[in-house]
Amino acid sequence: MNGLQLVTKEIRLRRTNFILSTLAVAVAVAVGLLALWQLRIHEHQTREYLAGQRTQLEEEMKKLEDDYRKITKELGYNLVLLPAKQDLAAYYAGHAMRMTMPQEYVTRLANTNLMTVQHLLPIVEQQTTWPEQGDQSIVLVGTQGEVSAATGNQHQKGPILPAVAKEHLVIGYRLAVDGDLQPNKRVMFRGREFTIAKALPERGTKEDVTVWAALDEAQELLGCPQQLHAMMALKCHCEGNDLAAIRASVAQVLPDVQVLEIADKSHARGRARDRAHAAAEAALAEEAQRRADLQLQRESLASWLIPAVWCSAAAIVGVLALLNVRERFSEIGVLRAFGLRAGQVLRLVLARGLLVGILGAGLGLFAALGACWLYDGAVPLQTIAVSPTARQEGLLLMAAAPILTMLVAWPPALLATQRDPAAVLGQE
Amino acid sequence: MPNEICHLQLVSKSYRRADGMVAALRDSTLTLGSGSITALAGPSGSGKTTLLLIAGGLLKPDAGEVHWNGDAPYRLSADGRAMLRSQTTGFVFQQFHLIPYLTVLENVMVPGLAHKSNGCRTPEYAHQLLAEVRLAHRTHHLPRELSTGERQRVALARALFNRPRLLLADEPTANLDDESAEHVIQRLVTYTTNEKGTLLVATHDPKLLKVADRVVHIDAGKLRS
Ligand SMILES: Nc1ncnc2c1ncn2[C@@H]1O[C@H](COP(=O)(O)OP(=O)(O)O)[C@@H](O)[C@H]1O
Ligand SMILES: [Mg+2]
Repeated sequence: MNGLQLVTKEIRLRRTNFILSTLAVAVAVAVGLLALWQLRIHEHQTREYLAGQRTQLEEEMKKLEDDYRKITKELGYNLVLLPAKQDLAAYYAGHAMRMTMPQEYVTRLANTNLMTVQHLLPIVEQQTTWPEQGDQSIVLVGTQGEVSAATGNQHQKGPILPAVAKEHLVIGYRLAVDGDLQPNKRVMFRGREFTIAKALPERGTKEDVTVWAALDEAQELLGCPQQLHAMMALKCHCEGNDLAAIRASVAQVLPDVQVLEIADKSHARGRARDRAHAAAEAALAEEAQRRADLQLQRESLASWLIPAVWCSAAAIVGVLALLNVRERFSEIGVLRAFGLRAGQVLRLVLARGLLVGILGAGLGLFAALGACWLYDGAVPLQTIAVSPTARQEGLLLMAAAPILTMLVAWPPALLATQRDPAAVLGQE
Repeated sequence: MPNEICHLQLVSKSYRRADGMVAALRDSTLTLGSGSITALAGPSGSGKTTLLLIAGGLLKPDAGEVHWNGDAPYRLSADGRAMLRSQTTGFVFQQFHLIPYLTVLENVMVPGLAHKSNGCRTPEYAHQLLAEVRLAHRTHHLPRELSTGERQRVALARALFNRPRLLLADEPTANLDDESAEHVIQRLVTYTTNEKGTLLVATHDPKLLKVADRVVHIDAGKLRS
């Protein structure tokens, strides 16, 4: 017979005490494990969820990008072509355009195979005066309307600006008001007689002081026959459909021309896409924050729940160990009388505490795993199994339980060794 | 006295109680020779148990000296004294104090726990001791399954398991039927004659007093030869 047998036989006799102690430890271990594991599981779920959302977002963005590309492709590029020497600052400032290019460029561009252009608008535009209207300062624009592009352009639509008919003028709002000019009124313009075709409503732009005339008449009036100041090429498409390729194509046909892109709807769509992306990112960040807050809440709950449960368990185990030792004064006295040293008696009591801890930890682990299983089958168990933190925390708790039970068994064990054996052995 | 195993020199012991100090033993001197039976007779409360505990190294006297064959147990640390006890003495307590969760055989072998190596303290020896006190058929029973007389005999077998040179027995035949008492007395006599052990026994039992080499009377903590 050895000490361990002595301990196990004693436990078998005083089962109730041992079982209660073990259950207290098991509950503490199980609560501790579940409290920590639910943190790890929630963490894991958050990671998975956010990663899933991120993939979905990226897929949606890719789709948007695709749509954008398709739309761009459909719309094509809208360009302004200016003579290469035209000063851009003057152009953008709305100043008179001095440089011209041959009108023949229009047909050249329309007939190129390199790109398709749905609308071509040749333009002359010059700041000048209207002597018959008190030398009023005006902008004279000559347009021809649309020049039909080359063959194969099936989707051709009507011109953007209806061409101004010969011997007719379209005038801006300010000019109509100042000159009291209404449609159908005949009017003298720079020595020629015209009929007002249309007076435009107020726009608050250069157009309010603009006079539109047929292209060739405007050219004659401005003294630049067969010359253009600018040309608008709308819905341009080419192989690959990017601006650089289009510029290259234009340069090939019209070497002394500069190409500007007019920002339009496709840009707005691009911006909308960026905004949608930003909004989705913000929603994702908000969800991440919400989950992080929840995690913090759960952590703070665990941070008091675990110590509270463990302190209660320690108190229960300590009291039960004390009761056990008190019950054993007589047998401990006998062991001392027959020569067992204090250390040996101490070890007997501590070994019991150790067994309580080990068994309680095992039982607690089992209970926690069982609870996880009942809660959601194998899923949380797999999460725990693959989380190094969860495993480490589990091991830590499992190791802490026997250490704690030994610690709380220490004072009763000391009491057992210090108690005078004669006091109990001398009883009648 | 030649071959003295135990010597008590002017030993005194008082207990603290609620109503003051009680002198349980006063200036008692006693020498136990090797192989002798000394009976300690006296009324209840006279100090018999106190004397036995002091002689057995279990209760430190307030004054006086105790020697065991040259060793002074009370000059040692508690652990040193425990070790010396395990090599020197055996006890039969008045209340037996068997360990409730151990079988009869295991109870007998309890003194072996104090030793690193078994030596002569084998299960066979425990069986032999149990046979000698007529308990061979009870080896695997628990104490609660035994009669008082049987428990007393288990306590005796346990006290002998370490082969002590000094055996202290506190009223070992009280509460026993005649037959049981006879077995116990027989075994005690064998212990002193065959095994050259020394016995100090507290008793009022005339049968036990009859086999004693010497009867020491004690009254109110004072010894009279
Ligand atoms: N642990 C104790 N505490 C207080 N008084 C005690 C204690 N043990 C014995 N006594 C008292 O000491 C006296 C002697 O007791 P004891 O040695 O047990 O006598 P006996 O064994 O002869 O009956 C008695 O008065 C008893 O009440
Ligand atoms: Mg007594």
